[in-house]
Amino acid sequence: MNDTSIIALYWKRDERAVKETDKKYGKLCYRLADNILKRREDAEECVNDTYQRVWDSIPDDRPDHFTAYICQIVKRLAISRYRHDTASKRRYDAYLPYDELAEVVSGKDDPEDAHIIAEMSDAISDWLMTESKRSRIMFVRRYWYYDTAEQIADMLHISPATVWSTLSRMRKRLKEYLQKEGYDI
Amino acid sequence: MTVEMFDNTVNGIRPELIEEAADIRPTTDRTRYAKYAAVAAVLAIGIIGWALWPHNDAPISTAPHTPAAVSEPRIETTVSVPEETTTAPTTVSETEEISYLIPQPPQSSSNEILFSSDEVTVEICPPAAVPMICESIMEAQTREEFRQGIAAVADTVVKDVTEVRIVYGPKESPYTTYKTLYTVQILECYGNIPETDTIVVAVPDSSYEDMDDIPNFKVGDEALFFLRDTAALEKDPMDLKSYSGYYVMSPADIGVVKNDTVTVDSIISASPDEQVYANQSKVDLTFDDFRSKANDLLNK
Repeated sequence: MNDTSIIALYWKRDERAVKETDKKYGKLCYRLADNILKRREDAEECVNDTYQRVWDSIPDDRPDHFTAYICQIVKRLAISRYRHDTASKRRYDAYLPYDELAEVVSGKDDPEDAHIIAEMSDAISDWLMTESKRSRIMFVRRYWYYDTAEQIADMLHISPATVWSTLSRMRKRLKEYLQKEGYDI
Repeated sequence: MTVEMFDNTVNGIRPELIEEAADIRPTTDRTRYAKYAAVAAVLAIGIIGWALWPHNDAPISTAPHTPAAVSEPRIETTVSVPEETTTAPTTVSETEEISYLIPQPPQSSSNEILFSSDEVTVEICPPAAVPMICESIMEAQTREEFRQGIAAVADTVVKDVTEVRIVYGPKESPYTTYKTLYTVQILECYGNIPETDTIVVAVPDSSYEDMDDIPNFKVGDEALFFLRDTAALEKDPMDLKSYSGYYVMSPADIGVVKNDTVTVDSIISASPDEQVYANQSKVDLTFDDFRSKANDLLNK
């Protein structure tokens, strides 16, 4: 079933909407949640919460990009849960690839940065569009979905070494691009 | 900026990009096993090919090769081969032995760039591996560089070819596609030049990275095909993406001249294995063709 039809079911308050959503996006949602939470039970619960959240928000929402819409909800819920569960002992977000991203950013906490995040997201999107489709997918799967190199390699039928080298080159190019665009990161 | 903040910026990328990346499915067990089977087949046949290849003192066969004829004399007609074709390269390297096995073009022409230049390196690998390594393609950082690399070394001219068959593998299982590729590669390794005007071209299955680059051909279209970089195979024999090495592109796509093209006469969808084997003797694609054209282009 296509996204438009699924959304139509939500608007009709037809419970098949949830079933169809699970059928189409269940695995994707689970994987994203699991990449963050690293626990099967938590990930499953997070996916169920996501369906509830989608049910509550459509209507009134009518998302143009349903996949991104649902993934954003999963991700937000999973991160929120992760931070709640690890609040007392967390020093850093374990799902984030710090070592890799440290190559791109300075690490300094500048309050001004918060204001430029939205703008920079657009810049990163623009830059991604200049990359090849395969590289783009690798980047997004690694840094948006938090997939491991092995998972990405498996999906794209390539070796993990290829994923690592491609991502490494992309990080360098991204840094250069952002600096060229005037971002002091 | 901190890593967490940067993560927030990545989180805000456009939904189209998130959706594009979501639309990739993990390898199924079936395709995984198919990959292993195809690799095993390629390696096994490659080794047999290597063992059966006529050495230094043997004439080079131009007869079509079929699996049944492997253990029989393969000489139907012979061609005159310049002495240089079986002369070992002056630089001793790991590929020296292979240079005896695979016919090479004459090295006497002063303008010819045979296997390397500042920009491009073309090497011969053992028959079990994929034959060409094109550094410029492998190192391409952008799509444009990739295309330039392709244009520099890889469009293949096969004279008198009047038919191209495009074999599509089924989407869910790339096995047929890989098998087709394997068939083509083995014939290359044997260096056969069949008396035929047909090329079987394997197109990567639709999960392949740059499917967008593959135009939808129809009968009557002009097309050209070329070998893509396959260096990764040497590093990781399980990296079957390397086998998806045959691209078919429209001439306009990489800007080559019109008479470098062939015409699509028929298109075979999801060809069963038997059909692939039936086409085996019709494959016409050789190292010499490739190298000859690559040298022409490099010397322009």
